[in-house]
Parts: sequence; structure tokens; C-alpha cells
Amino acid sequence: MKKIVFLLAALLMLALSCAAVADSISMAVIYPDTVDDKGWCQSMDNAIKKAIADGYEIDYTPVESVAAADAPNTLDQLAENYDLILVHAATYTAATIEIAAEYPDQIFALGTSDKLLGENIFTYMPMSEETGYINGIIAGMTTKVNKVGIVGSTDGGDSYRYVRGFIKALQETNPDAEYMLSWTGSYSDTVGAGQIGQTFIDAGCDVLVGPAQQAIGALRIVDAADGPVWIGQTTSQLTDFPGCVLAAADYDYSAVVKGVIDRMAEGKTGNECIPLNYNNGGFIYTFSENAELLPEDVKAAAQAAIDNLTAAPNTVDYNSIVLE
Amino acid sequence: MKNFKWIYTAGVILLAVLLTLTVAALILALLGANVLDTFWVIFCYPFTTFKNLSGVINIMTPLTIVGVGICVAYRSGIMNIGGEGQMVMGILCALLYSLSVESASLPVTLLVGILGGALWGLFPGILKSRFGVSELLSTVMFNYIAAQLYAYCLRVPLLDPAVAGGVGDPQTEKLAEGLWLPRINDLLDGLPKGTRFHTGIFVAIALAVIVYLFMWKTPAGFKMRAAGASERAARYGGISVDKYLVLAMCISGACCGLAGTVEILGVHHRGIGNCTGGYGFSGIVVALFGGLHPLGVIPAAFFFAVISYGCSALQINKIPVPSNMIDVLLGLVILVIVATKLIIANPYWMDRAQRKFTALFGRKEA
Repeated sequence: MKKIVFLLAALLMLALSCAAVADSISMAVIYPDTVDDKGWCQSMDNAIKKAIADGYEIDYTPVESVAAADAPNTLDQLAENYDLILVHAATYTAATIEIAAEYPDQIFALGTSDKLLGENIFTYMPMSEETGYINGIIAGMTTKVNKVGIVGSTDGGDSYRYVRGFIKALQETNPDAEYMLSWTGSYSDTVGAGQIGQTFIDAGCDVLVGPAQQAIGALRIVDAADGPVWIGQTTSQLTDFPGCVLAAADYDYSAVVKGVIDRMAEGKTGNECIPLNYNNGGFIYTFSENAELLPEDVKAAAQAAIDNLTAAPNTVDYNSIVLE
Repeated sequence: MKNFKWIYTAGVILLAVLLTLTVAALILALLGANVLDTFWVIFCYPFTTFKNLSGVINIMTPLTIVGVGICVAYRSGIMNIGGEGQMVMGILCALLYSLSVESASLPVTLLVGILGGALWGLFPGILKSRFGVSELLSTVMFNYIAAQLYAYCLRVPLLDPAVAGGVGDPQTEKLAEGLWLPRINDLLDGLPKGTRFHTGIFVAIALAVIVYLFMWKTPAGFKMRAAGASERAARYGGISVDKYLVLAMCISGACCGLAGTVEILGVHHRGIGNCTGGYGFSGIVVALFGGLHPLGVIPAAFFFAVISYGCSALQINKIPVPSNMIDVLLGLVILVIVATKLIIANPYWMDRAQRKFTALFGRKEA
């Protein structure tokens, strides 16, 4: 009997160890910038490390600063050498679709896109209209001159959603508020963003916002101007500029990373879009502790809206907004 | 000393290689990377599989075409820094034609791309020859104009309806399959999977040969080179320098336009943002490394493609070198190569070295 129990225990241990090996996943991630860019790429890098810390066994290979023109070559090199290739920029969409068609057994995850792109491609999309909506409520309640500046990056991807979600909330919260909007045409043009920010301040805006990593240029101008305030998006800007930032949203892509791996464990290979929203913990919103900067009633209104969106995701009709 | 030139050349190359390896090894050691592994990936990994070699050839193709174009301009006495803009205009014109004309064909698409690039070379050429406007200034400005024009077209008139409405990245619709440059896989059976290089490489090599024949074996080519070698002497000899200067810029731009079109038709199969890959600029270094000779550009482009591919494969091979430092290494290698080339070609420095060498080691040449 003892021998049988011992044998069963040994078999159980073997099965568990095999399961652990099977759970381990090799993952390459293609980034448009470095993983310490304080923005887009770093948020995904942090998310993967968080997923690993949470017990997901990931053999992680970052591939940084891949130019759009080099994407087909890079994807081709990676294909069939990893369980999952995560492609972290919409600029690689065309290349990913093409290479995915050539390697049907290779699983890809591509962001940002809300489309279903193929049987072996998962997509993920930050529902940034939700973070824009919360920022819009705060902007509508805190502007004293009813002039708000939006330093846009490019009118595409999650920036498209963010800007429209922001305007929707601004108009609902404060119908008298006007907004000024200008695009730098780039996700990384901090100099252009700074120039736009200065123009908005000169035009009298007292609240400014802006999506993507380019926004840091405008935030620096706001910080130096001593008067206007900023509401953050994409990175936690509160700690760096506590004197002028009212609140900031952070993306937590671990919901996406875990979501893709969980689906792969279920045997799925793609053809599904995984959203990033308040409901699945994809957005983390942080308020300034400075009550003079952010009054309690504003904070309460924003928190109530976050609670509503957590309970009922995908309810901000951002497409109803037509830009002036 | 009859063999001194060989000794000098070998010595300079050896010193350059040692210097590069030492500096690179120091950087790598500071980063905590294995020096030998890193060098193996940069210089040997591109040759380990046919798939890798295929990637190298795909990088080599636009580099060769742009490099040949740059040679024509430099040989004719004008510096073309506008390769990037000319590539973009070639791409834009090829896209406008192929997406708007239903019966578009591959040869005409290539021709339209060539014309687009030539047009973008024509303006700086005229500005230089007629008004004396510096080509350094005008070609760089034309780069900006082309980039913004392309960005606008990609986002508005040529935008793929599939990405309209804010999601995804600006791109055009996919081009019809009949317009793609065939891949080697499509032409030959039995090649390994992942052989993605396309027939553009044959276009590049043929172009290098044609440009060589034109520049070295025809009267027009001779006049262009004469104008580039000595403008005053060429004018004195009755050569219309201004005319050949404009022609050189047109040919140079045409080559760059072709490079862009080949890249679109061979690799991306649609218009995407930043699709030039910086080849318009790196083609200048390739041309210099190739001795500003159309045939010299072919091995130079291959060498640069190998290094470029090898550097891009470092992170894939888990070599712990940050991407910024990969660019530093790549820049270092390129800098040393170009400097070495110039040192070897400089007769004054060789003469000085020869005198010192003779003084140290013995008898003078009779």
C-alpha cells in the first residue's frame, strides 16, 4: 500500500511539475520606443513584470525601438520562436496581419486595435474615452474662466477616444466651458506639445490636458506658468509635478497580459479583442492630495463617475462628439 | 617602397578594427554583456539561416538603390541630402497612381515612383543651378515638405477606410497583389519558410550596373563627372555644368524614388507611416563607404545590411544591450569604417606615413 501511495505521490508531483512547465510561456514584445520611456512602452513593461510577480510564468524578451519599416523583418525573426508575440503599437498593424497570415500557428497580440484581425491575433484596446470622461468632469468643475486646452497627439487610436470622451464630459458637466484643441501630429513630440501648451495658456486657458507621452512637454509649460492646472493621462504625472496636476490616470496593461495568457491556456488563439477599462482594473486613477488644488466635491464627482463606469463599462458614447 | 601602399592600407584597417573592437568591448563590458556573444550576433548571426540572410537582403535592397542615387549626385558635384524626401515622394506618387487607377500595372507603378523622386530632385537642382541656393538647405527643407505632405495624404485622401474612425494607425489600403514585387519564394520551389526577400534586389543590382555604364561609358556621364571633379575646368571645356547638375539631381532623386517604391511594393504592400526606414540618410553613408562608385555601393550596402540586421537581432538573442546602446555601437562601427576609408584614400597622410616609415625602417625608394 505504501508503495502505491508513494508511486501516486510521485506521479502527482511529476504531473504538477509538467503543468508548471506547460504554464510557462515564452513571450517577445515589440516596442516602438525603449521600455524606460516613462509612458507607453514602460506601462506595458511594468504590466508584464507585474504579471510575473503575480505568479504568471513568463519568459519575457523585450525588443525595443523597432521602426515601422523594420517591423516585418523583426516579426519574421521572432515568429515560431515564441509562444506569444505581443506587438505594442498600432503602427505595426499592417506588418502583424501580414506575418500572422504567414505563420498561422504563431499567436500574436496587437494593440491598440478594437478590430478582430485574425484567428491567431488577439487585439487589445484601452477604452480611453473612460479616462477622458473622468478628466472632462474634473476640467468642467475646476475651470474658473471656462476655457480648457487640449494638447492632442494624433487623432487616432486611444487618443481619438480620449479626446472625445473628455469633450463629452466637459460639455455635460459645464455647458459654458469652451475647449481649444490642437494636434502635434505625433505621440512623442514634446517640443510641439510645449508650444501648443504655451499658446493655450496665452489664450487664457486655465485647465490643460493631453494624451500620450508627448503631453509631458505641455505639462512642463503648465508647471512653469504658475496658475494653470493639468489633468494627467497615460502616466502617473502627479508625483513629478505635484504643484499643478489635479489627478492622473494610469494604464495597467497587466489585465491585457493576463487576459491573453489565460485565453491561451483555455486553448484560444486569437480573434478576440481584450479591452482595458475600469471594469477589469486596466485603469488606475489617482487624485491629488492637495485639497486646495482639487476640492473634495470635484473629487467625489469624479470618483462617482469611476464607480459608474466600473459597474457599467463601455457606456461613454464618444463617437457622438463631432470636433469643432 | 613598392609595397608601402598595401602595408599602409592593411595597417590602417587593422588599427581601425582594433580600435572599434576595444571601444565596443569596453561599452559592452560596462553594460554587463558578453562581448564575444555580442560580436557573434552582430557579424555572424545574419548568416546562420536562409531566413536571416533573406532579411539582410531586404535591408540591402533600398540601401543599394539610394546609395547609387547618392553617388550620381556627389560625382556630379552636388550633395544630395534629400534622399529621404525623394523616397517619400516616390512612394506617394506610386500610391496615388496604384490606388486610383484600376488598371495599374507593376512597371508603370515603378515608373511613376521614379518620376516622383526625380521631380523632388529637380527642384533643388534648379534652385542650385539658377539661383545658387545651397542644396544642403533646399534638400533638407524638401524632406520636411515631403514628409508632411505624405502624412497628410496618409491621413486624409489615401486613408484606408478600415482604419477610419480613429482606431488603428494611418495607412492606405493594401495594393492589388498584381502590383507586388514577387518574392523569391513565389518564383522558386523548395526554399525554406521565411524567405521573404523579393525581386527588388535584382532591380537594385541592375540599376547599379546601368548607372555605372552611364556614368563611366557615355559622354553625358563623363561630362557629369567632369563637372563634379572640377566645375571651372568643365565650364572652360565647354560643358554646360548647370544642365548636368540638374540632370544629376533628377537621376539621384529618381533612384531614391525607386527605392521607396520598391520598398512599398516588395515589403509593405501598402502605404504606412515612417516607411522609409531612414534609408534616405543611411544611403549616404553607404555611398561614401562604397567609394562613391555605383558598383562599390553593392558590397557596401550588403555590409551595412549585415550590421544593421545583426544589431537588431541582439535583443532577440537575449543579449542584454539596451536599444539606445545598440544604436551607439552601430554608429561607432559606421564612423570608424567611413573614417578609415577616408584616411586610406588621403594621399597626403599616406605620404607622411611613408616618410616616417622610411625614416624608421631603412632605405629610401630610388
